[in-house]
Amino acid sequence: MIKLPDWACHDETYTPDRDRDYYITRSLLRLMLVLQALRQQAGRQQRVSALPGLSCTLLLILSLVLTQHSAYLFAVGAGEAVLLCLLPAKTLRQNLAGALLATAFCTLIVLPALWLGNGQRVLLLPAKTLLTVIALNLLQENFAWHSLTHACRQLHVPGIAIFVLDTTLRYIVLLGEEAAQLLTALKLRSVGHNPHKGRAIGGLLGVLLLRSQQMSLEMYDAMRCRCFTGDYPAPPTRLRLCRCDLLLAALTLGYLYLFLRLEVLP
Amino acid sequence: MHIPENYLSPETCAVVGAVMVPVWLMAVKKVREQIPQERLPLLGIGAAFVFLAMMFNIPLPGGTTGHAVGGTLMAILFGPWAACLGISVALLVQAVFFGDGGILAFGANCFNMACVLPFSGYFVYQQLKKRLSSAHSTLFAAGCGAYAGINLAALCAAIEFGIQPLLFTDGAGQALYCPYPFWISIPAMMAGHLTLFGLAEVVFTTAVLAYLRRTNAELLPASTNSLLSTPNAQHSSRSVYALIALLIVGTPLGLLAEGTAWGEWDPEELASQEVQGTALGYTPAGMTHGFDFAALFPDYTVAGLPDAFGYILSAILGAALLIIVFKIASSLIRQPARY
Amino acid sequence: MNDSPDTTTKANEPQLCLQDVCCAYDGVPVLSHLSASISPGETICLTGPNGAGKSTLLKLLNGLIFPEQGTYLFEGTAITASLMRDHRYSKWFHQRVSFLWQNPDTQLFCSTVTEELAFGPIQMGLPSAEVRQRVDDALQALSIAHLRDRAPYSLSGGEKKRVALASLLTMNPAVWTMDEPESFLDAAGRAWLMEFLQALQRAGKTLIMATHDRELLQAFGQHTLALTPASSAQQAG
Repeated sequence: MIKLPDWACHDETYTPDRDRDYYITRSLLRLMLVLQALRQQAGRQQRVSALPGLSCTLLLILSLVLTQHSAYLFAVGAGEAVLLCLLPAKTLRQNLAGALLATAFCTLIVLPALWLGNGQRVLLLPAKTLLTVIALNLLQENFAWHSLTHACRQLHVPGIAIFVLDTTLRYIVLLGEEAAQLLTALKLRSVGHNPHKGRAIGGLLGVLLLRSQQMSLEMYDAMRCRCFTGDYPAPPTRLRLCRCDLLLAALTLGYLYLFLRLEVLP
Repeated sequence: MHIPENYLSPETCAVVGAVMVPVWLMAVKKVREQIPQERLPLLGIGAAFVFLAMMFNIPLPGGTTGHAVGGTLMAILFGPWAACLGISVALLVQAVFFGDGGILAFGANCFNMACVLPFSGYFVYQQLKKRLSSAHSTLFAAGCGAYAGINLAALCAAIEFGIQPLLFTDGAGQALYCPYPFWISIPAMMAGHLTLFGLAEVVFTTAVLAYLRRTNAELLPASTNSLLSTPNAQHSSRSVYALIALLIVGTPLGLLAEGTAWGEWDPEELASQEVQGTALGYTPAGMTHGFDFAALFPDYTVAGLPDAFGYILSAILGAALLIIVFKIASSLIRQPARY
Repeated sequence: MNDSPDTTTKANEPQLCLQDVCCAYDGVPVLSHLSASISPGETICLTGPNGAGKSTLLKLLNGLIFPEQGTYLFEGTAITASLMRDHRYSKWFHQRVSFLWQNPDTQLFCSTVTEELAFGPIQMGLPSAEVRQRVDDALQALSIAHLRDRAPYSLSGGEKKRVALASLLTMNPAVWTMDEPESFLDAAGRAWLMEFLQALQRAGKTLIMATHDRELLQAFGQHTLALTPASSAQQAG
């Protein structure tokens, strides 16, 4: 029969003193947000196939970077605003906030150029930043990352690069979940003053590192069991176009036409 | 009815703006209490309707133009307080991005179109709806409300114009700001609004209401239909977007009206303006040295693009911006899960 | 805020009390209109299929998430997000209510077993002699004295589980919440776990465990809280 020590048979009288473990709560919150975003990211319902989406976005960004006319930026901005309207309210806010922050930074950077008298054209840069960031945000809001990496492969990006990308994404989720659990457990057991905060966090990170090493070894073994020889060939896929794809293509063509009219034909 | 920059003295702007501040605060409070969170993005759609309605310029013989506002429509759909907020945001977008209505005169414009218009229109609508009980009474009441609302708003704008030359003149007796006193501004403004623009407002309000009712759209308030849970909610929201798209494509029609709305001339245009047979002959001093704000896309045009295309793009951008603003506002309120 | 928490519990008052609690996870409702009350020293088994909300309920009981409707009272105090932001209260609360994770790896992060066990009592500011005493006692009681200088991650699953239990024991919590305590344990380990839980019962601790294990349910399942995915629960006596 197990006998608990005497002190364990009494009720504990314990009054905690002050110590704010902000570092735990804060890192935990941050991590949770990232994980939630990733989980939602993976569960995207796509109306457009990823390959046309990706190629159109790349073309659009290229034209945005090259253009010299604010009219083109305005046209792209109107299109992006409509697409933004279709996002759920919360993601819309987060994306827009991120894009505006980037724009603010860009404005700060180009301000000296404006001051030195480089003309109004300098101000195109912040607008371009805003539109480019929104375009990328729209891309990742509308497509799950795994479908984007798949589209990358169809664009003949080397297989090993795709593999590294995919694996990284997977590990961010898996290890992130581990880290979140570890942090929560640490928080639950942080019932008083911790004199060795560094040691606690160090231990946590150490465990995480060991876990990731273990996971990668296991994955390598699992891949070898499934005849992995170091090659990472692309599976054959057929491109199927739907109505939305055609709409997207038409829009992109329209923008390209506008771009050419404005830039090439004076 | 958009009062441009420097037509009102800064003192007038300050007074009217000060009146609007408590109204806005109250409107925010009321909207938070009365509008459920999931209807807030719809408020953005309503504001987009108002924005688009104001882009359809209607010409009047004699060279001026005007437009419908749709404020009463919004008050019927969302209640007067929400309408006040929605129209104010629409006016802000117009002032900042498209230079329609002055920045300093923003308070005055909001007072006319976002405060006087929806509240009076809604009051008339309510009173009539209570008295009448026939099948079409709602539409009739809405039409009467819209007519009363836009005319009262125009009257307020005319009074604000007309007060300027009486209060603010320079040593030579020339007006500093708007040069036309009551006896010119009120008939000039009301002539348009009592006839064509009022009619446009009535047609716009009743047509949109009838359309929304036929498609059973979710924009309608819960009291007039039991929609939010019906299976064709998807279909109805699609019909609302279709209507917005139609309005956007149609906006270049507003360009057919050549002239400028009464009281919205550029300073140079104003000097050569003929009222009662004689041109004014000078540009008021307050306008030449007044506050100047460079809007991004003045008069809904984009440099380098054809006017009609720029107009459509402006309509798209403005409508989308309004929907985005109210969507973001709705996301700032915590959403409880449903059990 | 409760600046000097009251550690004594009145005899007849329930220690944990859920009143019409509704809770969502990632926006999906998980618990709906759940009511239950648990007295000090009582043992409750949470049963139900996967996805019925057992883990969510345990997180709720530990003050990690909060009900969106209804209230969760711990010793008469409603546990809310703003109350848990009060550090002194939350620390006191976490000392009173402990959580055994399903996977022991989750809660072990120190470099040796001894450090792991001393983590709680050191934080509570106990004198070092007593910390040492508690660690020794706990190592003895869970018969893991031979592991004292090993690294937790190098242990086997069953050993990790014991270390995890020991690390909670040294804090001497009044309420033990456990997520599938039988996981990672073999038959002998489970027999040992039952004895350990009985010892806790004798010491008057409140035990709340989510479990699928038939033996555990037989031994401790006099009071069960059956959760269903349809998110309605009944308390069986």
